[in-house]
Formats: sequence, C-alpha cells, structure tokens
Amino acid sequence: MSNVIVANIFRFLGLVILQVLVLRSINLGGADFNYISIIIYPLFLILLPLRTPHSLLVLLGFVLGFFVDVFYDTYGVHASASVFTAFIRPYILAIYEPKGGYNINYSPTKHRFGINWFLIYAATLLFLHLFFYFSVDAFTFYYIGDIFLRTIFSFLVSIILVVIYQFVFDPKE
Amino acid sequence: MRNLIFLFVRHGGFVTFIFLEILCMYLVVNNNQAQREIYFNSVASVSDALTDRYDNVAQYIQLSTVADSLARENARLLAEADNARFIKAIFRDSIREPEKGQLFVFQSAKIISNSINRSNNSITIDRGRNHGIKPSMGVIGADQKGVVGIIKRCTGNYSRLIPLLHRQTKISAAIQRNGYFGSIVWRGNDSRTVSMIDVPKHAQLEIGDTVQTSGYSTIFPPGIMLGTIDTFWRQPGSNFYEINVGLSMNFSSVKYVYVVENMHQEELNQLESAESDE
Repeated sequence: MSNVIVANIFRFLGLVILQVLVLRSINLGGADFNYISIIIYPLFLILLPLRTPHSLLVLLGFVLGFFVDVFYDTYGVHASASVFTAFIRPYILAIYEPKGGYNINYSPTKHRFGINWFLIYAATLLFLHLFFYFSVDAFTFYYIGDIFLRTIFSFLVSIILVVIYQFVFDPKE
Repeated sequence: MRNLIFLFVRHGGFVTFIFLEILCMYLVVNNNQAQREIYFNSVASVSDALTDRYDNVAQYIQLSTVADSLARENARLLAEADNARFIKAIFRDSIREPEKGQLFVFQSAKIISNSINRSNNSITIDRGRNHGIKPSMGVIGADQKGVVGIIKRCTGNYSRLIPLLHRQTKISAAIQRNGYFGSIVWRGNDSRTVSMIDVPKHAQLEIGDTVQTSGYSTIFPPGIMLGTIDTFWRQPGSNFYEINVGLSMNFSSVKYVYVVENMHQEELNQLESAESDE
C-alpha cells in the first residue's frame, strides 16, 4: 500500500522535473515549425493505481497540471488539460476492459497488462490530453487545423517517450 | 444533507471535475494575455449583439421620450449656434464683412465603439466623408456636456477620433473665472481625470473652478465645458502649475456626440501657412 504511494510520489516529482527542466526547453521543430511540444507528465495520471477514487484522481490532475503551469508560466492551461485527462481516465479504462475484468489492486502498467494493451490505453489518454491542452492554449476553435497539427506531431514524439519510459523503468505500480 | 453527501460520493469525480475546470478557466483568463483577449473579445461581441437588439426594441418603445429629448436637444443646439454667431459678429464688425454667417456648424453622430481603459484610447462614430466629416474637426458631447476628441481618420461612413483620453491629445483650455489658459493633456491613468499644464504660477486657482475650451484653436468654439479643478500643485522651481481636472464628461457612458465644423478652417489654415512660408 505505502509502496504504491511512495512510488507515485517519486514518479510525480520525477515527471514534473523532467517536463519543466528538460522537455520544456526542447524545440524539435525549430523556429519555422513550432508544432512539436514534448509532453510526458500525463504519464503520472495514466499510471495511477486502478483503485484511485475518481475525485482524488481529478484533484491530483489539477495539482499536477498546476505544478507544470507554474514553470510554464501558463496558469490554468496545463491544469485544465490534466483535470480533463484525469476525469476521463475511468471511462477510457472501461472501454479497454479485458475479458476477465481488472484486478483493482493493480496499476495500469505494461508490466501487468502487456505492451499492446498499455500502448492503446496510454495513447488514447495522451492524445486526448494533448488535444485538450492545445485547444485551451489557442482558446478558440478558429485555428482547429493548427490545433490538430500540434496535437498529432506532439503526440507522435511524446508517445515514443512514454513507451521508452515503460521499457526503461518497467514499473509494477 | 445526507442526500448531498450521497450525491457527492456517487458523482464526486464529476463534481470535482466541473469545479476544478471552472477554477482552471478562471486562472487561464486571468493570467494569460492571449486567452484573456480572446475571452473578452468574445464576451464583447456577444454583449454587443445583445445590446444592439435591446437598443432596437427600446428605441421603438421609447419613441415619445426620444422626441422629447430631441426637442430639448434642439433648444440647446440653438443656444450653441448663437454662441458661435456671437464670435462671428465681432469678426465681421472688425473687418466690415457685410453678410451674416455661421462660424461653427454642428452635426450629430452616434458613437459605435469606444474604449477607456487603454493608455491610448480610440472612439469610432457613424459619420464619415460622405457626411462632410474631415480630419481634425472637433467632437463634443451631445447627451453629456464636454469635449470628446478630435477626428483623426475618415472613411466613407465612419470616422475614428482621438479622444481626450489619448496621450497625444493637447487641447487649449482656459479657466472660466479668470481666463488663464493652458493645455489639457492626458497622463494615461484615469478615465475621469485629465491634466492641465502651462498655467503660469501667478494665476489664482481654486478647487472647483470650471475649466472650458479657450477658443484659441480653430477646432472648438470657446466655452465648451471640460471639467472642474480637483487638485493643483507646482513643482519647486517651476513657473507653471500642474492641475488635475475632473472631467464633466463620463467617457464610459457617452453615446451621442456633435461633430464641430469651423467654416473658416481653410481660410485660417491658409493664413497660417502663408505665415510659415515667409
């Protein structure tokens, strides 16, 4: 029990630090192609234990997003996307529920459910997170084409990082 | 109460989600410049549409009130025109011009967009070149007493003006009680206050003195109300007062204006340019 909490606290800190100190300053597209942002911190929400209560999940989403916002200096933008991602996670999990159902003592990791399942699940959440984030960032659907482009390019780069993370650390919890 | 707790336990995630998203949007709009502008523009365009519709209905219902106020307005306009004619009379006498004439003519217009909270504000009115409006004509309030600004650019049907609340504004003004004159400028911080500068230190000022246009420019007729003195002081060693003038015009609610045309503008311009050629 306490193992899970400690692991998640460390993951929270690690991902936020990685996001704001390293990934924030990487601009893969260069000045002419400002469409790629590497966003990995939602992985914290993706990997929270299955039995996490829904309201706690949403609250943690807010805390996570707010921390990232403080360093990006975009108060509310990342937080709103994280809150959204945390909110829809149970519904996404319900869609991809395996035949035997979930063991609620597990966390939704590659280690427990296999790479195929994890990839589909994480990709769905990450994509929706990015889409929500870039929508709030633009704050208007007038540039819907731009929003989609940013979402897709950022998604392709970020999901690779998420998978690498799974193989490097291979977390149980 | 028990029901409420029950509701939260069952739908806690949703309630938390809605609450936190509202909080996030509040943070977004309050802390991010780009999103903030989009938000306020959207709110403004929605409220503009609503106001427009309401105006249409209200105008139809209140026709009798409008007629009343038009009559009052006419009476005031007549007085205004007399005022203009008086100056003309002196002119005419001194140069023995035989025919009578008008010096200032007024044309009513409606403000269709207005800003007061920037450091350089602007106002748009619904009269333009087609109605004889030209740049550098003066604009004064119709439903409220006071100077509004000076026309800067005209299109066919609309004109943009530099209001009093603009850092480039400089209008010649005088104190009604004793005639000391100076310039009105705006420091860019308060939409209800302007500064009057260049008033010499031997002028005798009192709080509450009325400040009006001096008539030393070709743009405004003399005696148009500007405001009253709020405070005044003098920098040590300076020969001029710095005066805070509380505006008589409330820029956040002004709606109808008159555009002032000086019939002798061209003649005066020629005179001045002839002088500068010498």
